[in-house]
Order: sequence, then structure tokens, then C-alpha cells
Amino acid sequence: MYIIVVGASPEGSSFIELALDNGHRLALIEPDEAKARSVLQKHDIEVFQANIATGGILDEAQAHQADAILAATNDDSANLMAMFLGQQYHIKTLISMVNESQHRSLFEKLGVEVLVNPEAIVAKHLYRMLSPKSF
Amino acid sequence: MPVALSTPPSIKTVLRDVGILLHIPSLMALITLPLCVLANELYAIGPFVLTAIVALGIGQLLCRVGSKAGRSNLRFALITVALSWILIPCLGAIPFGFIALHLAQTNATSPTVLAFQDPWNALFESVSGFTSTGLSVTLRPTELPYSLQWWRSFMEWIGGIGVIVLVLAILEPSTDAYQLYTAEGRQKLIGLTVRETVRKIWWIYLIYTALTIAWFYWVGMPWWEALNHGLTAVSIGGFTITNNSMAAYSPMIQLAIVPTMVLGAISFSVHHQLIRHRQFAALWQGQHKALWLLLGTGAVGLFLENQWNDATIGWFDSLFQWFSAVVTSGFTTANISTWSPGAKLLLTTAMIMGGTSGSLVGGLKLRRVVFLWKGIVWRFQRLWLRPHQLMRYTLNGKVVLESEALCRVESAAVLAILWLGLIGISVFVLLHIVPPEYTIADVLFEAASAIGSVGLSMGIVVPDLSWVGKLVLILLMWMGRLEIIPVLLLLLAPIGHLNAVLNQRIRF
Repeated sequence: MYIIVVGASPEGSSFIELALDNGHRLALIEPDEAKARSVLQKHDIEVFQANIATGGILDEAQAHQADAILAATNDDSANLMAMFLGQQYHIKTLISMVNESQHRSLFEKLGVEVLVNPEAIVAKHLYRMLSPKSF
Repeated sequence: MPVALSTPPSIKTVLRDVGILLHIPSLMALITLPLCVLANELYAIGPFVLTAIVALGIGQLLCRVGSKAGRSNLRFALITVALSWILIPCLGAIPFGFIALHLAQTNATSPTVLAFQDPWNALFESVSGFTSTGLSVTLRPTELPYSLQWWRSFMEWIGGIGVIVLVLAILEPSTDAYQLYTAEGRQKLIGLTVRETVRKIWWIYLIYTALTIAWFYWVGMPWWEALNHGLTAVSIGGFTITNNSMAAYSPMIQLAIVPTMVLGAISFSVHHQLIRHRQFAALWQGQHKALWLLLGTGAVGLFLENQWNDATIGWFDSLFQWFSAVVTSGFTTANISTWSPGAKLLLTTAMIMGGTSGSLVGGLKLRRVVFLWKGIVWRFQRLWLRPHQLMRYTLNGKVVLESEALCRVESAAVLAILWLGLIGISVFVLLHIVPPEYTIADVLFEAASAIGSVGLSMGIVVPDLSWVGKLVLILLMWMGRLEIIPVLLLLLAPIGHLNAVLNQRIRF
């Protein structure tokens, strides 16, 4: 499967590692040079140093061949744009991180699978690890 | 005397450090003295004692002058190396000149010895020795006195391991050891400390020398020849005490020489890994992979080229000369001056590239050739990139930063350009001096041989070559052995100094 990842956030980077281990082909779009390079140091994938709003960036990343696009930036507007563009390129699977829970419906209207507020999910998991005895 | 750490380095620092290094030719001359007695060449004692006294005197004088000088830094260390690598050969030329002058008074002296009455010849032979090049103005080495035969081999052996390394191992250095060490172009450290590294290099060198001498004796060389050729084989020198280099020996002995030449072209850090940790994989990494590829494909290529032009040249002769050129040894088994221009150009290319860095060879060294090759590959890969795509740089299987990758390519390219530029200039000069029967391919070959510390010759180097030609080749040998940049620093230092003085005058 060919997956385009937008944003080298901790979640995005971990996703890249996981997907590579499972034998998928990946491309990363990340505007920050240092972050982009650090991913390139670790993994042999195509890395584009650009904002998702840069004209024609998905053409460069050969989005018409992509099977999935993952938006994993900390900026919901960038994530939303990535999803819009993904839809235009007829990418089958659209996945996005949503940082503000009130934006959820925006994404869902597009038919995107969303993961709302990943920090809150992690916190919930951690909280559940507290055994009842500790109260 | 304790030296204040804060004292900045100055010209006196350079003088003191050069002074320390000048003790080495003095010691070498003293070691040679018993041999003069054993060989019944008592007339040679005078010249060698003179060499020892002059070297010791100048050395001590310079040490006194700079006794209060500050510690060296990289720039001054490089200048020190460049200066000592020309002063030491000047001292090493003394025995040639004075022994020739003495023997000229007797009747039956051969022209081989008489040629050394010309100071240019004596200096040329000495520079060739201490840079372990092997170009020689000796017509018939068998007609030299034993003491001079030994002196030539000994110079190459000492020059090979590096006068610098010698000093670090034997004398207590007041200079910053690490800076002197890196200045000499052997950057990869084997052990933890520099002193330790030098000691290891020194031991590996001694062991290999002893083994090579024993090996040569065992395969059938007389012991005196085994001793001398052992010294010049391990040091990748190329001087011989036979009249036609290794062509004097049977194919069996010639075959036995090949592995000893290759040993010297392997980096010392790899030698250490092999001896200590039995890591044979180290032989198949980076520049060593390039070395085997170059040795293999080139030998086949040269053989085919020779078959094309003159089918009487055997495969072994092609292989031997090719190996000799790549590892910058300079031993020959054939008269290569009769080979085709194509074969000469192939050998010239090999001499420009040389063996691996961190070993005893000359030339540009394969590490740099690999970087240049990588630079070409990266350039094309960048052309294929899409506008926003980032480039991934790998060296020896490791991902490196763009800045590091480009810096390595740049420094390799700068040296390659200096190298080829110097060859170009000297070819232009030499073409005006050499007899008309030598073509541009011959002159190119000779220049590449001199700057690459190789020693293979088209026959241009003879005692009758004009002094300008000898000077050009001496400069090439000196610059090539030190990888050019230290010598340029030394030559440019007076200009920089003059500028500074002038600027101060204007300010006040």
C-alpha cells in the first residue's frame, strides 16, 4: 500500500515506523526542515519539505497512486486541507488526527476516519492504569 | 622547562618542533656507522659522522632558539611538517655527496657513484627516499657502496612510516601530539590516545618488516637483498639494489613480492582490526572495497590493453606493474617505457588514485576517490528529485547529514584539483626540458609517479636531467607526500606575514 503522511509529529513518525515494518511504501510531507531531515536519517522514504498548502505538492507526492493519506499535524486547518485534497485525488482511505474535538463534525462530513484529541486518549489510557486501590 | 599553555604559537614554535625532528637523520646516520665498518667501507664513516653532527647541531640549535615557545596549533603543526620534510632530505643528501667526492679521487669509480658529485642528484635521491617515492638517479644500484645501498633503503623505510610517527613514539614530545599526527595525513585513530596509536602503528610496521625480510629470504633472495628490498617493499618505497628492479628475479620471487606490496596499501586501522580482533569483514568496507575492485578490474584492463598492442607482454607483467602503480610501490618487472601510450595512461590513472588512506601509500587515496564518485552519484540523484523532495545521503551504509556529505566531497574535490593542476603545470615545464623522444604520455607518467610517491619511471629521471627538471620533480614528491596543503601553507606563510606587517605599518 502507498501511504502519504502529512506532518512529522510524534504520532506521524511512529506511524511511519509501524507502516514501514509492515512493508508499506510511504511518503512524508513536512514543512519543518529539521523534523523532515530527522525522519530521513532514520527511514529510507520520500520526504518533501513543504506545507500541505504548497501548490501541487500532492502531485509531487504522486497522490493519484496513493491508497491512503494520513494527516497528523497539530494544526487542524492543515489536517482539513490535507483531507480535502485527498478527496479530490480520490484517495480511498482518509485518516486524520483532530486536535480540537469541536472540529470533529467538519472532518466527518468529508467521510474521514478521525482520531479526536490523541493526547486526551493517551491520558484516559493512563488514568485507567490507576488501580482502584490507589484512591 | 615547563611551557606556559597560554603562550600563542609563533615562528619559534615551528623552529623548535623542526629542531626535534632533525634529531632523526642524526640517529639514522649513527645507526649506519657499524655497517660501514662491517662492509669494510671506512671512507663512508666520515660522511655519515658529518651528517650526524650537522643534523644534531642544527636540531639542538633550533630547539634552543624555540625553548620558550608556546604549544603548536594545527596551522603551525602543518607548517612544521612541511618544513621538516624538506630539511631532513637535505641532511640525508650529505652522505651521497661526500662519499661520491671521496670515491672520485680513486680511479676505478663507476659513473653511478660519480653522478652524486652533483648536489642536485644527491638531493633528488634523498627526497625520493624520505618521501618513499623510489624515483632514482642511480644508474646501476649494484655499483653503489653497501653503505649507500643501505642508506637508500633505510631512508625509504623511515620516510614510509613517517618521521612524525617516529618522533612521537621515541621522544617525549612537547608539541601537541595529536595535531602533529593528523597533520601527517593519517587521520583514522586506531586506539584511544595518539601515543598509543603511534606505538601500535610502529609495532605493526616492525612486525611486517621482519616478516617480509624473512619471507624474501625464504623464497630465494640473498640475505642482503632480502633485507634492503624488505625495507623498501613494506614502506611502499620502490628503491632496489638490483640494476633492473624486480626483473632481476625469477617469476617465483616476483610472485612472492605481490602480497607484500598489497599489505602496505591496507589501512593501519584495518591491519589492527585483523590482528587483534580477526575482523576480516573490515577488508570489504568503503575504500577497501574500492581497492580490490581497482586492483582486479585494472589488472584485467591493462592485460587486455597490452594484448591488443603487443601480445608478448605476459599476464603477470601486466598484473605486477598494475599492482605496483595502484599501491604506489614502484617495483617493476618489465620495461614499461616500451609499452603503448594507452597502457601508460592506465598506469598513470592508477598512480593518481593510489591506495587507501591511513596506509603507507601516496596518491590522492581511494577514500577521496570514493567521495568524488559519491559526489557524482549524488549530483545526478539530486537532478532526479522532485522540487520539494529532500535528498538522503549515505556513506558506507550510514546516513550522513547533507552538510557533512557535501563537505567531504568538497575537500576531496579541492585536493583533486590541486593535484591535477600541479601535474599539469609540471608537465608543461618538463616538456621543455626532456629530450624530444619522450612524448607527453611519458612526461605525464613521470609527473604522476613523482607526486603520487610511486617511483615507476619512463626513464626521464637520469643523472643528466637538467636541474630544473630535478627541482620540479623534487617539489612534486615533497608536495605529494604531504598532500599538498601543508606545503602551500608553508609557502604562503611569508606572504601572510608580510601582509600583516604592512597592514600594521599603515595603521600606526
